Amino acid sequence: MKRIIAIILLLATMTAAASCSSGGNVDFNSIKENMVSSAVSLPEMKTISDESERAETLFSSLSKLDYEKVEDFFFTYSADGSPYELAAIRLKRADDLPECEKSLSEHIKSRVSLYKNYAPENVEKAEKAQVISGENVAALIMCDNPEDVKKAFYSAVKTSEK
Amino acid sequence: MKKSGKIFGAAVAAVFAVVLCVTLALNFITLAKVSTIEVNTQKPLNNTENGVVIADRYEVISTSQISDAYISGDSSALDERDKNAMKTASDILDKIIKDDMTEYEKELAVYNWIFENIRHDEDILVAVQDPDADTFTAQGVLAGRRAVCVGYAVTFRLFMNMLGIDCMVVHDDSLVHTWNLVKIDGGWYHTDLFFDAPTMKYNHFNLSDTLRKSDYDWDTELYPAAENYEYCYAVLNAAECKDVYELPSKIRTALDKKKPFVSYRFKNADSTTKAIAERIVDTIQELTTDSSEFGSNYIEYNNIRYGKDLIFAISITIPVDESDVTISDEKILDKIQAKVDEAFGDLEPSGEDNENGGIRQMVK
Repeated sequence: MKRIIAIILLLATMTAAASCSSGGNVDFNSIKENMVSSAVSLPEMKTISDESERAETLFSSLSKLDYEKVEDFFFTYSADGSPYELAAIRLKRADDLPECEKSLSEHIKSRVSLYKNYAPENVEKAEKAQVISGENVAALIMCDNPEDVKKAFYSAVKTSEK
Repeated sequence: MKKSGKIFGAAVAAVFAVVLCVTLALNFITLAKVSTIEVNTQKPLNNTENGVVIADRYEVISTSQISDAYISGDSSALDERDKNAMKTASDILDKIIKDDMTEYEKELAVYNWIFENIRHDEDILVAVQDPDADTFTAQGVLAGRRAVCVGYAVTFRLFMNMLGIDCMVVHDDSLVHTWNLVKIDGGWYHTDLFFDAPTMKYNHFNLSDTLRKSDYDWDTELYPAAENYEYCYAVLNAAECKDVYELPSKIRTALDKKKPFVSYRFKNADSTTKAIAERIVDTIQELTTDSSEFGSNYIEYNNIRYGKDLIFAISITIPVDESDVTISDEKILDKIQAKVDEAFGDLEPSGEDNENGGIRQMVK
């Protein structure tokens, strides 16, 4: 009987833990490679990531999320300021996904606002940017073929799950 | 057996109770977090001149400590960075300002110096900025000679305040742009150096609220009203135009000479003159928009009602609160077309609307 109770308690604890802690072993490099390689017509791009010098400072250009919550991230953006951006943020805890997604949406709003003022021809494309997520990773897609990049992202997340 | 069955049942119930509590607690925490996010992402109050953050990046920072020190002659309270900025600005003023200058002349001298010497920060649209680049404070701009809109505005304000001229940094309601309000001879005017530099000299120099409102909205409770036109550059420098039909050749000359800004005064002009002038520029704009010679959107215009006169400023876009008049008189339409053809006959029409009928095609 004690064994049964212990097993049930263990299962309950595991279930509770799984619902709030980080989600799976996502291969972050695959996500980055899949997203970037599936985007077409990218201009000259620059990239920052958690491995960059002053990563925390640079990260604030992408998201206002507390950097303590970030496991790793990459942000590829056009060198000339045109509306081409790809980014993914892997979180330490999947619980923080809603906040992270919201911060990426705020980033898009901010970009749209900037374009409205200084480069109106870029507004339409920036407004079509998307924020998606899978497992404990949130991603931002602003490019000419967002659907392809989306598929590539989900594919990488699924592959990582196996 | 019965006893062990009861214990088992109690244990299962206890476990479910624990799981339920944990789940409820987690949900509560998540909800609390979401609601916290909602609160934290609200935009900060922006009912202040300094302290606001533009484009999520550039804070408008006070420069009064520098101008106050310059005026009082006591810079002992300034740090090294401020002292350097004051020395640089002071040296510039020594070169460009003369004692007998009027407030307007001083303003113009500072405007011209900034226009000639401060470059746009070309990276303003790039998603990630160099953390070390300071293009938004007066100290950084005077040292690096590169500026975003905030940098232009605070630097212009610093110069004006050092000269004892009231000047404020205005931000728009969307917090994406800043410019200046400057008090010249008792009246306030809008000046936007960021948008004028590097090619649109004087387009946004001393505008009224009405003129500025076509581009931006701002907190009119926070900033003084700018209702004067006396020192508006377009009004001060308007060339007299006796016949509205002279406009096509005048505009052509201006375009050929690559003049960034021209304005014309029509004395005692009525609404029909205004409508004809607008029609003329619209027609020319149709022709020049996609022309390889003039590039896209080269011409914009604006009207300023100044007493009985009409000031027609070319290359700025500002609406006028007057009733619309549609030109449908055949003779007038023919004359517009003839005069435009005379001045622009060497250019091919660019739009489908103009392919078979020119100006008449535009009247529907």
